[in-house]
Amino acid sequence: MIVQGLKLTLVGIIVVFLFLILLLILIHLSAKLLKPYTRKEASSLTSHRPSIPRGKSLFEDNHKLTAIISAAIAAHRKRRGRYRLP
Amino acid sequence: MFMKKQFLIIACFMLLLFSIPLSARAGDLPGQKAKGQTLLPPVSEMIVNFTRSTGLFSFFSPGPGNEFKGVGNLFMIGVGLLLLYLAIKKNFEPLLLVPIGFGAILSNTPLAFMSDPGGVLYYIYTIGIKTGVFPLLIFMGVGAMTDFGPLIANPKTLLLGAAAQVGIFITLIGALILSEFVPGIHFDLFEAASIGIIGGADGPTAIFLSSQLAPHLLGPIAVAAYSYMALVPLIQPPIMRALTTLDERKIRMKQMRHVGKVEKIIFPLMVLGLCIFLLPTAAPLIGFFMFGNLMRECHVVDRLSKTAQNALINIVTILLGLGVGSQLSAHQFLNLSTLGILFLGSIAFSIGTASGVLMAKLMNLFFETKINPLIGSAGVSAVPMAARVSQKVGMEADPQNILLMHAMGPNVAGVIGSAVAAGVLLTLKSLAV
Repeated sequence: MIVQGLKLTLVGIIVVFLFLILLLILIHLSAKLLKPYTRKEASSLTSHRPSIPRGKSLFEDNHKLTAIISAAIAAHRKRRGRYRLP
Repeated sequence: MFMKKQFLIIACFMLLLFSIPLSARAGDLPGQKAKGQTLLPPVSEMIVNFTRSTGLFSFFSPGPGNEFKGVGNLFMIGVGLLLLYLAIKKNFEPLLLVPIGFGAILSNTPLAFMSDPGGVLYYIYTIGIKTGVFPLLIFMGVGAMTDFGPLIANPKTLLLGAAAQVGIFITLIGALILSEFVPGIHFDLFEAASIGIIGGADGPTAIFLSSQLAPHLLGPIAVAAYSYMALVPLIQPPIMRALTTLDERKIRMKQMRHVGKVEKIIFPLMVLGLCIFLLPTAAPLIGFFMFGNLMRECHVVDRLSKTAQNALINIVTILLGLGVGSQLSAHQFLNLSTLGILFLGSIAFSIGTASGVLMAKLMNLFFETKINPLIGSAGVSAVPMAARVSQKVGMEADPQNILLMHAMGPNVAGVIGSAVAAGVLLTLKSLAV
């Protein structure tokens, strides 16, 4: 029966690799075909990025930012472990 | 004083009333028989019967045909409690192990017959798990939660996801070797395939495949799969460190490109198309996975996507856990095969991890852009735990190296890879001669 297992293993590994290599090629192809769309999207993302509002000093802004980031980290730590995939 | 006397008299009267056989009293009024159950045995007999119907009695009295059935039930309740302890205290996959542990306790409750035909757990199992519906619904939810962006940005990581599936097949051979050489363990090809899929490190896939190929092993396989998934942070790091040099662990990967919305919408359809043309047996798993993902990425059915990744997956997880727990009965769990399955499961995870890391090293020999071999271990699905482990081990070597997003690529590739492997193993059903 071990020989049967080896046969199954050979076929199985070949199919898994073949499937994922074909998928790799397809992803490359689609990325190439859709390049214009992706580039447009990426450039619109960078051009719409909100700039730092002027008038406030950088120092003042940093304080606010620190508070926001530490609050976010605290919230994340609190939530951690509850949203794991089953 | 008077009250006490009165109470005694009433009590005596009541006792007399109940101790006279009901048949004698019923005989007094011929022609006035009520329908249904109207007769009860004398109180003394009732009390004896009642003690016979307690859990305590059935745990310690030999049952018909099986002397240790009661003790076995008690032991399995202990296993259920152990699972609850691991989930609650040690935080091991609590979302699954709490329902599974509780299901195990309920299904081993004597005289309640919850997992026998007609019992509630029997229906949950038969409707949801035996048919394969629950694991597929969970897969849909997982698809709705998964972002394939890192994979699309760096598709080479698909090879890592494929390499990590080698663990599945080596374990399959391991199961066959065990049944050949260890007396008391006999696995056929279907059973060996179901045990091997533990190496896919993907709960729903393991449950789906074993419900189709070897339903009698479903309990131990699901418990092994989820326990080892919880143990990924302990199993993987020593293997990863042993197979890599410090310099390799310090490799920094270049930032990923932006992945467009259209690419993300096309991706699930592409995978499904490939599945339809090449491996239709994997279509249930891959189909539901990609359906969930399309709902997420198309952004026009946000309500459905949110339901699939929250309410629906939670409801199904509860039912799936209870259903799996109902399969943890003493006669199915307490045997040598279970020990074999637990042993093979740990081998499966270790080999999957090692082959992922080795594949990454192999790829570094051929490709110009180097990848950090630590992300190879994330190829054993276990989303997102395995990716976190890559990040953690990477940070030990270089605290500023952020590998998490890069590791998500092989991580989600591993989910596709194990679904494909399950599809191949499902073809056994039609190949078997």
